[in-house]
Amino acid sequence: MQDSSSIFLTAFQLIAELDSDLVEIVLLSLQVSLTAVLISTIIAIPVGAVLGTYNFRGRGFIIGVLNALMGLPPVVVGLMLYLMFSRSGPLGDLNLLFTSKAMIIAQTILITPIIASLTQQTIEDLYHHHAEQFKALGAATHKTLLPLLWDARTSLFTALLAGFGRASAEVGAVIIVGGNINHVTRVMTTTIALETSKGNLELAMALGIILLTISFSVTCLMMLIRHHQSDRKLRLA
Amino acid sequence: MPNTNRHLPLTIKNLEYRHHRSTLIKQINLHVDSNGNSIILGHNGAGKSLLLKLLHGVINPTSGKIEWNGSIPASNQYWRTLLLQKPTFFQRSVQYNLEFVLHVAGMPVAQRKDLLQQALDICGLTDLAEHNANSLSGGQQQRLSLARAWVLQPDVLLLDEPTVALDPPASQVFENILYQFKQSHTKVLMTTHDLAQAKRLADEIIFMDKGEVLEQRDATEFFSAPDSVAAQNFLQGKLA
Repeated sequence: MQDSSSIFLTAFQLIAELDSDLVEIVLLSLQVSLTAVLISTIIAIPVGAVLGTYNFRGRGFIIGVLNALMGLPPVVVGLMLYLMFSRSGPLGDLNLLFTSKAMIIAQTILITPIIASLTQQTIEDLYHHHAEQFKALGAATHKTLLPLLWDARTSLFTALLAGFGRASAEVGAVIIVGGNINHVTRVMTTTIALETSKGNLELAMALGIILLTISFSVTCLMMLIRHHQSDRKLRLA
Repeated sequence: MPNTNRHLPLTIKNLEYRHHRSTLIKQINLHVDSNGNSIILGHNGAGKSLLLKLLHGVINPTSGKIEWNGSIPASNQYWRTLLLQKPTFFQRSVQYNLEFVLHVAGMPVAQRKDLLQQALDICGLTDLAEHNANSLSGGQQQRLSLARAWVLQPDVLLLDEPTVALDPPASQVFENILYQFKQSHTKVLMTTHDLAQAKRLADEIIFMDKGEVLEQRDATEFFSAPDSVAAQNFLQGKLA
Protein backbone atom coordinates (compact mmCIF):
# COMPACT_ATOMS: atom_id res chain seq x y z
CA MET A 1 0.00 0.00 0.00
CA GLN A 2 1.30 3.44 -0.93
CA ASP A 3 1.87 6.01 1.74
CA SER A 4 -0.67 8.75 2.00
CA SER A 5 1.68 11.59 0.99
CA SER A 6 2.37 10.00 -2.40
CA ILE A 7 -1.37 9.42 -2.87
CA PHE A 8 -2.06 13.10 -2.21
CA LEU A 9 0.81 14.15 -4.49
CA THR A 10 -0.41 12.01 -7.39
CA ALA A 11 -3.99 13.16 -6.77
CA PHE A 12 -2.96 16.81 -7.04
CA GLN A 13 -0.95 15.98 -10.16
CA LEU A 14 -4.03 14.43 -11.77
CA ILE A 15 -5.99 17.58 -11.00
CA ALA A 16 -3.23 19.93 -12.16
CA GLU A 17 -2.74 18.01 -15.40
CA LEU A 18 -6.50 17.99 -16.00
CA ASP A 19 -6.45 14.23 -16.47
CA SER A 20 -8.97 13.42 -19.20
CA ASP A 21 -10.75 10.66 -17.21
CA LEU A 22 -10.97 12.92 -14.22
CA VAL A 23 -12.35 15.85 -16.22
CA GLU A 24 -14.91 13.60 -17.91
CA ILE A 25 -16.15 12.29 -14.55
CA VAL A 26 -16.32 15.76 -13.01
CA LEU A 27 -18.19 17.19 -16.01
CA LEU A 28 -20.70 14.33 -16.03
CA SER A 29 -21.24 14.74 -12.28
CA LEU A 30 -21.89 18.45 -12.68
CA GLN A 31 -24.15 17.86 -15.67
CA VAL A 32 -26.24 15.29 -13.78
CA SER A 33 -26.51 17.28 -10.56
CA LEU A 34 -27.15 20.66 -12.17
CA THR A 35 -29.84 19.17 -14.43
CA ALA A 36 -31.46 17.55 -11.38
CA VAL A 37 -31.39 20.91 -9.57
CA LEU A 38 -32.92 22.64 -12.60
CA ILE A 39 -35.78 20.12 -12.86
CA SER A 40 -36.33 20.20 -9.10
CA THR A 41 -36.46 23.98 -9.16
CA ILE A 42 -39.19 23.94 -11.79
CA ILE A 43 -41.24 21.51 -9.69
CA ALA A 44 -40.37 22.50 -6.12
CA ILE A 45 -40.52 26.30 -6.20
CA PRO A 46 -44.17 26.52 -7.37
CA VAL A 47 -45.17 23.67 -5.03
CA GLY A 48 -43.41 25.34 -2.08
CA ALA A 49 -44.88 28.74 -2.94
CA VAL A 50 -48.43 27.39 -3.10
CA LEU A 51 -47.99 25.45 0.15
CA GLY A 52 -46.55 28.55 1.80
CA THR A 53 -49.42 30.83 0.87
CA TYR A 54 -52.64 28.85 0.40
CA ASN A 55 -54.66 27.16 3.10
CA PHE A 56 -56.43 24.08 1.85
CA ARG A 57 -57.51 20.66 3.05
CA GLY A 58 -54.57 18.28 3.20
CA ARG A 59 -51.96 21.04 3.23
CA GLY A 60 -50.56 19.93 6.59
CA PHE A 61 -50.39 16.35 5.37
CA ILE A 62 -48.49 17.36 2.20
CA ILE A 63 -46.03 19.45 4.23
CA GLY A 64 -45.56 16.53 6.60
CA VAL A 65 -44.87 14.16 3.70
CA LEU A 66 -42.42 16.64 2.15
CA ASN A 67 -40.56 16.97 5.44
CA ALA A 68 -40.44 13.20 5.80
CA LEU A 69 -39.16 12.85 2.23
CA MET A 70 -36.28 15.20 3.02
CA GLY A 71 -34.66 12.28 4.77
CA LEU A 72 -35.45 9.77 2.00
CA PRO A 73 -32.79 7.00 1.97
CA PRO A 74 -31.02 7.25 -1.41
CA VAL A 75 -30.52 3.49 -1.75
CA VAL A 76 -34.26 2.94 -1.39
CA VAL A 77 -34.93 5.51 -4.12
CA GLY A 78 -32.31 3.77 -6.25
CA LEU A 79 -33.90 0.38 -5.64
CA MET A 80 -37.42 1.61 -6.47
CA LEU A 81 -36.22 3.24 -9.68
CA TYR A 82 -34.22 0.12 -10.56
CA LEU A 83 -37.38 -1.97 -10.24
CA MET A 84 -39.35 0.49 -12.37
CA PHE A 85 -36.71 0.91 -15.08
CA SER A 86 -35.54 -2.70 -15.29
CA ARG A 87 -36.66 -4.64 -18.38
CA SER A 88 -39.52 -6.32 -16.54
CA GLY A 89 -40.52 -3.12 -14.72
CA PRO A 90 -43.46 -0.86 -15.66
CA LEU A 91 -41.12 1.71 -17.30
CA GLY A 92 -38.69 -0.82 -18.75
CA ASP A 93 -39.54 0.15 -22.34
CA LEU A 94 -38.04 3.58 -21.79
CA ASN A 95 -34.54 2.01 -21.60
CA LEU A 96 -33.47 4.42 -18.89
CA LEU A 97 -31.63 1.99 -16.64
CA PHE A 98 -27.86 2.57 -16.55
CA THR A 99 -28.11 5.94 -18.24
CA SER A 100 -27.33 9.41 -16.94
CA LYS A 101 -31.05 10.22 -17.34
CA ALA A 102 -31.89 7.64 -14.67
CA MET A 103 -29.30 9.25 -12.41
CA ILE A 104 -30.87 12.68 -12.99
CA ILE A 105 -34.30 11.27 -12.13
CA ALA A 106 -32.94 9.71 -8.93
CA GLN A 107 -31.27 12.91 -7.82
CA THR A 108 -34.38 14.94 -8.73
CA ILE A 109 -36.52 12.70 -6.53
CA LEU A 110 -34.08 13.11 -3.67
CA ILE A 111 -33.71 16.89 -3.77
CA THR A 112 -37.19 18.05 -4.82
CA PRO A 113 -38.64 17.61 -1.29
CA ILE A 114 -35.69 19.53 0.16
CA ILE A 115 -36.11 22.52 -2.16
CA ALA A 116 -39.93 22.45 -1.90
CA SER A 117 -39.86 22.30 1.88
CA LEU A 118 -37.32 25.11 2.23
CA THR A 119 -39.31 27.21 -0.28
CA GLN A 120 -42.54 26.58 1.64
CA GLN A 121 -40.97 27.69 4.93
CA THR A 122 -39.43 30.82 3.40
CA ILE A 123 -42.54 31.90 1.52
CA GLU A 124 -44.84 31.13 4.46
CA ASP A 125 -42.78 33.37 6.78
CA LEU A 126 -42.78 36.16 4.22
CA TYR A 127 -46.51 35.78 3.54
CA HIS A 128 -47.29 36.01 7.26
CA HIS A 129 -45.20 39.16 7.45
CA HIS A 130 -47.37 40.77 4.75
CA ALA A 131 -50.68 38.98 5.46
CA GLU A 132 -52.50 41.88 7.13
CA GLN A 133 -51.24 44.32 4.51
CA PHE A 134 -52.41 42.05 1.69
CA LYS A 135 -55.85 41.89 3.30
CA ALA A 136 -55.91 45.67 3.71
CA LEU A 137 -54.98 46.10 0.05
CA GLY A 138 -57.42 43.43 -1.07
CA ALA A 139 -54.59 41.57 -2.80
CA ALA A 140 -55.61 38.12 -4.02
CA THR A 141 -53.04 35.50 -3.01
CA HIS A 142 -52.18 34.49 -6.58
CA LYS A 143 -51.19 38.07 -7.36
CA THR A 144 -48.75 38.13 -4.45
CA LEU A 145 -46.84 34.98 -5.38
CA LEU A 146 -44.34 36.40 -7.89
CA PRO A 147 -43.41 39.45 -5.80
CA LEU A 148 -42.99 37.20 -2.75
CA LEU A 149 -40.76 34.81 -4.69
CA TRP A 150 -38.68 37.74 -5.90
CA ASP A 151 -38.32 39.11 -2.35
CA ALA A 152 -37.28 35.66 -1.16
CA ARG A 153 -34.82 35.09 -4.01
CA THR A 154 -31.66 34.94 -1.91
CA SER A 155 -33.17 32.46 0.54
CA LEU A 156 -34.48 30.42 -2.37
CA PHE A 157 -31.04 30.41 -3.97
CA THR A 158 -29.57 28.96 -0.79
CA ALA A 159 -32.29 26.29 -0.94
CA LEU A 160 -31.12 25.44 -4.47
CA LEU A 161 -27.53 25.29 -3.26
CA ALA A 162 -28.59 22.92 -0.46
CA GLY A 163 -30.26 20.77 -3.13
CA PHE A 164 -27.14 20.85 -5.29
CA GLY A 165 -25.00 19.92 -2.30
CA ARG A 166 -27.16 16.91 -1.57
CA ALA A 167 -27.29 15.87 -5.24
CA SER A 168 -23.57 16.12 -5.90
CA ALA A 169 -22.70 14.16 -2.74
CA GLU A 170 -25.20 11.42 -3.46
CA VAL A 171 -23.92 7.90 -4.15
CA GLY A 172 -26.45 5.22 -3.15
CA ALA A 173 -29.16 5.89 -5.72
CA VAL A 174 -26.96 6.79 -8.69
CA ILE A 175 -24.76 3.72 -8.34
CA ILE A 176 -27.86 1.49 -8.49
CA VAL A 177 -29.64 3.19 -11.42
CA GLY A 178 -26.49 4.37 -13.21
CA GLY A 179 -24.47 1.22 -12.82
CA ASN A 180 -21.18 3.15 -12.63
CA ILE A 181 -20.33 2.37 -16.28
CA ASN A 182 -17.03 3.81 -17.45
CA HIS A 183 -17.41 6.82 -19.79
CA VAL A 184 -21.22 6.57 -19.51
CA THR A 185 -22.51 6.88 -15.96
CA ARG A 186 -19.43 7.21 -13.84
CA VAL A 187 -19.69 10.22 -11.56
CA MET A 188 -17.43 11.45 -8.77
CA THR A 189 -19.06 9.68 -5.86
CA THR A 190 -19.48 6.32 -7.57
CA THR A 191 -15.95 6.46 -8.97
CA ILE A 192 -14.53 7.16 -5.52
CA ALA A 193 -16.36 4.10 -4.17
CA LEU A 194 -15.19 1.93 -7.07
CA GLU A 195 -11.58 3.11 -7.28
CA THR A 196 -11.13 2.81 -3.51
CA SER A 197 -12.31 -0.79 -3.62
CA LYS A 198 -9.87 -1.42 -6.50
CA GLY A 199 -7.01 0.20 -4.63
CA ASN A 200 -6.62 3.03 -7.16
CA LEU A 201 -6.50 5.58 -4.41
CA GLU A 202 -4.93 8.43 -6.44
CA LEU A 203 -7.93 8.93 -8.73
CA ALA A 204 -10.31 8.42 -5.80
CA MET A 205 -8.41 11.03 -3.79
CA ALA A 206 -8.30 13.50 -6.71
CA LEU A 207 -12.08 13.20 -7.09
CA GLY A 208 -12.51 13.46 -3.31
CA ILE A 209 -10.56 16.72 -3.30
CA ILE A 210 -12.71 18.12 -6.11
CA LEU A 211 -15.91 16.98 -4.39
CA LEU A 212 -14.80 18.58 -1.14
CA THR A 213 -13.89 21.78 -2.99
CA ILE A 214 -17.35 21.88 -4.57
CA SER A 215 -19.00 21.18 -1.23
CA PHE A 216 -16.96 23.89 0.55
CA SER A 217 -17.62 26.34 -2.29
CA VAL A 218 -21.36 25.74 -2.03
CA THR A 219 -21.26 26.20 1.76
CA CYS A 220 -19.18 29.38 1.44
CA LEU A 221 -21.58 30.74 -1.17
CA MET A 222 -24.54 30.01 1.13
CA MET A 223 -22.79 31.78 4.01
CA LEU A 224 -21.94 34.75 1.81
CA ILE A 225 -25.56 35.04 0.70
CA ARG A 226 -26.82 34.84 4.30
CA HIS A 227 -24.25 37.43 5.37
CA HIS A 228 -25.30 39.72 2.52
CA GLN A 229 -28.95 39.21 3.48
CA SER A 230 -28.48 40.05 7.17
CA ASP A 231 -26.29 43.00 6.19
CA ARG A 232 -29.07 44.27 3.95
CA LYS A 233 -31.69 43.81 6.68
CA LEU A 234 -29.52 45.82 9.07
CA ARG A 235 -29.11 48.58 6.50
CA LEU A 236 -32.87 48.72 5.93
CA ALA A 237 -33.78 48.58 9.62
CA MET B 1 -61.27 61.58 -7.45
CA PRO B 2 -65.05 61.17 -7.26
CA ASN B 3 -67.21 64.21 -6.64
CA THR B 4 -70.05 62.33 -4.96
CA ASN B 5 -69.56 59.49 -2.57
CA ARG B 6 -71.49 56.57 -4.00
CA HIS B 7 -70.85 54.32 -1.04
CA LEU B 8 -72.11 56.49 1.80
CA PRO B 9 -73.87 56.72 4.12
CA LEU B 10 -72.34 53.94 6.16
CA THR B 11 -74.89 52.25 8.38
CA ILE B 12 -73.82 49.89 11.14
CA LYS B 13 -76.56 47.85 12.78
CA ASN B 14 -76.13 45.88 16.01
CA LEU B 15 -72.53 45.10 15.19
CA GLU B 16 -70.87 42.64 17.51
CA TYR B 17 -67.53 40.85 17.40
CA ARG B 18 -66.60 38.11 19.81
CA HIS B 19 -63.26 36.37 20.12
CA HIS B 20 -62.44 33.60 22.61
CA ARG B 21 -65.59 34.25 24.66
CA SER B 22 -64.82 37.99 25.01
CA THR B 23 -67.09 40.49 23.31
CA LEU B 24 -64.67 42.99 21.84
CA ILE B 25 -67.24 45.02 19.88
CA LYS B 26 -70.58 45.43 21.62
CA GLN B 27 -73.80 46.18 19.77
CA ILE B 28 -72.56 49.13 17.75
CA ASN B 29 -75.11 51.18 15.85
CA LEU B 30 -73.79 54.03 13.75
CA HIS B 31 -74.77 56.17 10.83
CA VAL B 32 -71.86 57.91 9.11
CA ASP B 33 -72.52 60.23 6.20
CA SER B 34 -70.18 61.68 3.65
CA ASN B 35 -69.60 65.03 5.31
CA GLY B 36 -66.06 65.64 6.49
CA ASN B 37 -63.57 63.55 8.41
CA SER B 38 -64.81 61.16 11.07
CA ILE B 39 -62.24 60.51 13.76
CA ILE B 40 -62.63 57.51 16.04
CA LEU B 41 -61.25 58.37 19.46
CA GLY B 42 -60.67 56.19 22.47
CA HIS B 43 -58.11 54.56 24.74
CA ASN B 44 -55.99 51.61 23.64
CA GLY B 45 -58.18 48.52 23.62
CA ALA B 46 -61.38 50.49 23.05
CA GLY B 47 -61.99 48.55 19.84
CA LYS B 48 -61.10 51.31 17.35
CA SER B 49 -58.78 49.23 15.16
CA LEU B 50 -61.16 46.26 15.29
CA LEU B 51 -64.00 48.47 14.11
CA LEU B 52 -61.92 49.62 11.13
CA LYS B 53 -61.00 46.04 10.26
CA LEU B 54 -64.67 45.06 10.43
CA LEU B 55 -65.58 48.00 8.19
CA HIS B 56 -62.93 46.99 5.65
CA GLY B 57 -63.99 43.35 5.70
CA VAL B 58 -60.61 42.12 6.92
CA ILE B 59 -62.49 40.30 9.69
CA ASN B 60 -66.12 39.27 9.78
CA PRO B 61 -68.53 40.35 12.51
CA THR B 62 -70.03 37.76 14.85
CA SER B 63 -73.39 39.41 14.35
CA GLY B 64 -74.87 42.60 12.96
CA LYS B 65 -74.67 44.37 9.62
CA ILE B 66 -72.40 46.86 7.92
CA GLU B 67 -74.09 48.56 4.99
CA TRP B 68 -72.44 50.96 2.60
CA ASN B 69 -75.18 53.02 0.99
CA GLY B 70 -77.69 50.29 1.73
CA SER B 71 -75.75 47.32 0.44
CA ILE B 72 -73.29 44.83 1.89
CA PRO B 73 -70.36 44.71 -0.51
CA ALA B 74 -67.94 41.83 -0.79
CA SER B 75 -64.45 42.19 0.63
CA ASN B 76 -61.64 43.19 -1.78
CA GLN B 77 -63.47 46.32 -2.86
CA TYR B 78 -61.06 48.96 -4.05
CA TRP B 79 -63.33 51.95 -3.46
CA ARG B 80 -62.32 51.70 0.15
CA THR B 81 -58.85 51.11 1.47
CA LEU B 82 -57.28 50.60 4.87
CA LEU B 83 -54.00 52.10 6.02
CA LEU B 84 -52.33 50.11 8.75
CA GLN B 85 -50.38 51.37 11.71
CA LYS B 86 -47.40 49.34 10.55
CA PRO B 87 -47.58 49.03 6.78
CA THR B 88 -45.37 46.48 5.05
CA PHE B 89 -43.74 46.76 1.64
CA PHE B 90 -41.98 44.53 -0.82
CA GLN B 91 -38.18 44.77 -0.92
CA ARG B 92 -38.55 46.75 -4.10
CA SER B 93 -38.68 50.35 -5.21
CA VAL B 94 -41.34 52.82 -4.13
CA GLN B 95 -42.58 52.80 -7.72
CA TYR B 96 -42.86 49.01 -7.81
CA ASN B 97 -44.88 48.99 -4.60
CA LEU B 98 -47.34 51.42 -6.17
CA GLU B 99 -47.44 49.47 -9.44
CA PHE B 100 -48.25 46.33 -7.46
CA VAL B 101 -51.36 47.97 -5.98
CA LEU B 102 -52.45 49.17 -9.43
CA HIS B 103 -51.99 45.64 -10.74
CA VAL B 104 -53.83 44.05 -7.81
CA ALA B 105 -56.76 46.44 -8.18
CA GLY B 106 -56.88 45.81 -11.92
CA MET B 107 -56.66 49.51 -12.79
CA PRO B 108 -56.86 50.13 -16.54
CA VAL B 109 -53.31 50.14 -17.91
CA ALA B 110 -53.85 53.47 -19.67
CA GLN B 111 -54.55 55.21 -16.35
CA ARG B 112 -51.75 53.64 -14.35
CA LYS B 113 -48.91 55.97 -15.35
CA ASP B 114 -50.87 59.13 -14.54
CA LEU B 115 -52.17 57.79 -11.23
CA LEU B 116 -48.70 56.70 -10.22
CA GLN B 117 -47.14 60.08 -11.02
CA GLN B 118 -50.00 61.89 -9.29
CA ALA B 119 -49.56 59.78 -6.14
CA LEU B 120 -45.78 60.32 -6.11
CA ASP B 121 -46.23 64.10 -6.51
CA ILE B 122 -48.98 64.52 -3.93
CA CYS B 123 -47.18 62.40 -1.36
CA GLY B 124 -43.80 64.03 -2.02
CA LEU B 125 -42.17 60.81 -3.14
CA THR B 126 -41.14 61.69 -6.71
CA ASP B 127 -37.44 61.91 -5.80
CA LEU B 128 -37.67 58.63 -3.88
CA ALA B 129 -39.45 56.65 -6.62
CA GLU B 130 -36.44 54.42 -7.27
CA HIS B 131 -35.52 53.94 -3.60
CA ASN B 132 -36.16 50.65 -1.83
CA ALA B 133 -39.43 51.09 0.07
CA ASN B 134 -37.98 49.45 3.17
CA SER B 135 -35.09 51.90 3.29
CA LEU B 136 -37.47 54.86 3.78
CA SER B 137 -37.99 56.56 7.13
CA GLY B 138 -41.19 55.95 9.12
CA GLY B 139 -42.73 59.17 7.86
CA GLN B 140 -41.83 58.43 4.25
CA GLN B 141 -43.25 54.92 4.59
CA GLN B 142 -46.57 56.29 5.85
CA ARG B 143 -46.56 58.69 2.89
CA LEU B 144 -45.97 55.73 0.61
CA SER B 145 -48.88 54.05 2.33
CA LEU B 146 -51.01 57.10 1.49
CA ALA B 147 -49.69 57.02 -2.08
CA ARG B 148 -50.83 53.38 -2.30
CA ALA B 149 -54.25 54.58 -1.23
CA TRP B 150 -54.21 57.48 -3.68
CA VAL B 151 -53.61 55.29 -6.73
CA LEU B 152 -56.77 53.37 -5.85
CA GLN B 153 -58.84 56.58 -5.93
CA PRO B 154 -60.87 55.41 -2.94
CA ASP B 155 -64.26 56.79 -1.94
CA VAL B 156 -63.53 55.81 1.65
CA LEU B 157 -60.15 55.90 3.36
CA LEU B 158 -59.82 54.01 6.64
CA LEU B 159 -56.73 54.83 8.69
CA ASP B 160 -55.61 52.95 11.77
CA GLU B 161 -53.48 55.28 13.91
CA PRO B 162 -51.19 56.03 10.98
CA THR B 163 -49.08 58.66 12.72
CA VAL B 164 -48.58 56.88 16.03
CA ALA B 165 -44.86 56.37 15.39
CA LEU B 166 -44.21 59.69 13.65
CA ASP B 167 -42.65 62.86 15.04
CA PRO B 168 -44.65 66.13 14.81
CA PRO B 169 -43.13 67.38 11.50
CA ALA B 170 -43.75 64.01 9.82
CA SER B 171 -47.29 63.96 11.22
CA GLN B 172 -47.84 67.46 9.85
CA VAL B 173 -46.78 66.38 6.35
CA PHE B 174 -49.04 63.35 6.66
CA GLU B 175 -52.00 65.48 7.68
CA ASN B 176 -51.40 67.85 4.75
CA ILE B 177 -51.62 64.91 2.36
CA LEU B 178 -54.73 63.70 4.13
CA TYR B 179 -56.24 67.10 3.45
CA GLN B 180 -55.79 66.42 -0.28
CA PHE B 181 -57.94 63.32 0.10
CA LYS B 182 -60.64 65.36 1.81
CA GLN B 183 -60.46 67.93 -0.98
CA SER B 184 -61.00 65.10 -3.42
CA HIS B 185 -64.20 64.07 -1.60
CA THR B 186 -62.73 60.93 -0.08
CA LYS B 187 -64.43 60.09 3.19
CA VAL B 188 -61.79 59.75 5.91
CA LEU B 189 -62.44 57.46 8.88
CA MET B 190 -59.41 57.48 11.13
CA THR B 191 -58.59 56.13 14.57
CA THR B 192 -56.28 57.99 16.91
CA HIS B 193 -55.73 58.64 20.57
CA ASP B 194 -53.84 61.85 19.81
CA LEU B 195 -56.22 64.58 20.94
CA ALA B 196 -54.37 67.43 19.24
CA GLN B 197 -54.47 65.59 15.93
CA ALA B 198 -58.15 64.76 16.38
CA LYS B 199 -58.89 68.46 16.99
CA ARG B 200 -57.01 69.43 13.82
CA LEU B 201 -58.58 66.85 11.57
CA ALA B 202 -62.02 65.97 12.85
CA ASP B 203 -65.35 67.19 11.61
CA GLU B 204 -67.05 64.46 13.56
CA ILE B 205 -65.92 62.40 16.56
CA ILE B 206 -66.91 58.83 17.25
CA PHE B 207 -65.84 58.07 20.80
CA MET B 208 -65.33 54.44 21.78
CA ASP B 209 -64.77 52.83 25.13
CA LYS B 210 -64.53 49.11 25.96
CA GLY B 211 -65.93 48.02 22.61
CA GLU B 212 -68.87 50.41 22.65
CA VAL B 213 -69.56 53.66 20.83
CA LEU B 214 -70.44 56.11 23.57
CA GLU B 215 -70.68 59.26 21.49
CA GLN B 216 -70.96 60.34 17.89
CA ARG B 217 -71.01 64.09 17.63
CA ASP B 218 -69.81 67.16 15.84
CA ALA B 219 -66.13 67.60 16.76
CA THR B 220 -66.45 71.13 18.18
CA GLU B 221 -69.34 70.09 20.39
CA PHE B 222 -67.54 66.98 21.54
CA PHE B 223 -64.39 68.80 22.56
CA SER B 224 -66.28 71.58 24.35
CA ALA B 225 -68.75 69.40 26.25
CA PRO B 226 -68.50 65.62 25.98
CA ASP B 227 -71.56 63.76 27.23
CA SER B 228 -70.13 60.57 28.64
CA VAL B 229 -67.98 60.32 31.76
CA ALA B 230 -65.49 58.14 29.86
CA ALA B 231 -65.06 60.85 27.20
CA GLN B 232 -64.71 63.54 29.85
CA ASN B 233 -62.00 61.48 31.55
CA PHE B 234 -60.32 60.84 28.24
CA LEU B 235 -60.21 64.52 27.34
CA GLN B 236 -58.87 65.36 30.81
CA GLY B 237 -56.18 62.74 30.41
CA LYS B 238 -57.48 60.64 33.29
CA LEU B 239 -56.93 56.90 33.26
CA ALA B 240 -59.90 54.87 32.09
